[in-house]
Amino acid sequence: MTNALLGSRPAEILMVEDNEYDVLLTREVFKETKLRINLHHVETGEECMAFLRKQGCYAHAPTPDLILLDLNLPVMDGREVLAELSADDALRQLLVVLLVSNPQDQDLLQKHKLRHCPTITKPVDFPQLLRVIKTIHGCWLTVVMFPGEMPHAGAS
Amino acid sequence: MAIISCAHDDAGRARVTHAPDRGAATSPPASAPPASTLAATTLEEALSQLALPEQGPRDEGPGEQATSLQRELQAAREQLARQQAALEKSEQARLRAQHELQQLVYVVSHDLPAPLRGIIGFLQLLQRRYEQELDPNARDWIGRSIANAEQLRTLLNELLAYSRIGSSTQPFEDVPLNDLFAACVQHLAPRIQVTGAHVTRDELPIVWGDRQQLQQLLQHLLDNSLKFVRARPPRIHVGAERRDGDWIISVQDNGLGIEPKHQPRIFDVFSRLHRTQDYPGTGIGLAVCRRVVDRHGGELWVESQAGQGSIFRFTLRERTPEPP
Repeated sequence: MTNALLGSRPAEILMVEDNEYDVLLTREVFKETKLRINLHHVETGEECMAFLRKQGCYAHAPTPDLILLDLNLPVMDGREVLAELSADDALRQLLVVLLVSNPQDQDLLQKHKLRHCPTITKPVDFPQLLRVIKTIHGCWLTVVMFPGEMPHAGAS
Repeated sequence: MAIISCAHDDAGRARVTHAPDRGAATSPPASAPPASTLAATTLEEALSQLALPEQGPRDEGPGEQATSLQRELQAAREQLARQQAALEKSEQARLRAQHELQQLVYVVSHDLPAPLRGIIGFLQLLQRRYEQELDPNARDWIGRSIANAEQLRTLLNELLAYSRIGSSTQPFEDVPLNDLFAACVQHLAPRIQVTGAHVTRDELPIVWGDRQQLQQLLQHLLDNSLKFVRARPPRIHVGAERRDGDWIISVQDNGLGIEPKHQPRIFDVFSRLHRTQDYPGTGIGLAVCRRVVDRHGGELWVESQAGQGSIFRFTLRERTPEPP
């Protein structure tokens, strides 16, 4: 994290998403922002937990600076991942942004009292990411931006 | 059966004691078993006992009566069973239909938006990255594809919003319509400003309902009045009157009005009387209004003539006092 704050390494973002097109589009959006981002991708809640605990093939995975977590995942959904994260002392501090896709998800958030969680309505675009990051971590952006390279989308 | 024979034995033994020469075995029961023993059996058992032919010739009269009673009872029981089976069947059908509807809503809400998001996303990517390399035709067609896909997304979202009205679990509360009116006016402020509309209200009551849905209702009606404008400036008035314990809320405008022959279908989903180019919108607004009013146990109707403005009225209730 210290290195990231100094801007000497790219930001590590983990996207937990079962729709490959959403991942592909997010990757393209990140490319356009010219931020130094390593986007990691897992498809399920179980893989997400293995990634974060550096288990199995994720033994050398970095600790992500941010997790983009889809709410609707097969088997272990976003809600359960959140519950497991908050029950784990080592993982509780991780920054999580929930990805929602429709108004039904908003109902779900309300029902499960997750409204305090920062959310992005899919598709992931930079203005939303920027808005959310500003609310959770004032200086996080300085982590990933090259000096003088304010992305065009950031102005909106 | 056992109880009755017991009573019989008791009676017989009594006779043996007091008149040994007559013989207990030949004497028929002097009377019906005592009421106290009958009370211990079910009505059904008692009836079957009374109907037994071996009870002796003296029982024939009441026995026949009992047999017919028993037949009636049997018939009634069979009818009840048939009705119960029919009821269970229709309840199962209803539950199945409800489940299928929920599934449909789930598919519409979860499975359809994802591919649509993909279509819009990649088209936009194509537009952003390659627009300069394409000829005007290709640029136009990509633009149209995006516009159409976005229209589809809007329709989908509105259909979803419509379907969610019935399944809302938000508890009812006291809703001051004055506050709701203020919120709607604030929300519609840009439109009110552009059209120069005069939007006024009576003193409005506090009603019992779902605040968010009631705001949707009022907002859609005000929005309609701001959209279908005839006279300048548009004048919109929200009124309230008491009738038979209910409140009748009215939204009156001096707009285009609606011909009576079109009025029955204006509350249908996606029903529109104008071209989208002339008056934008999907035609879900009034359908949402009707559904909201339905859910609140009220009625919604319109009084209008073409060219003479419209009055939309709906009924709402106050909170019913808790029984003491």
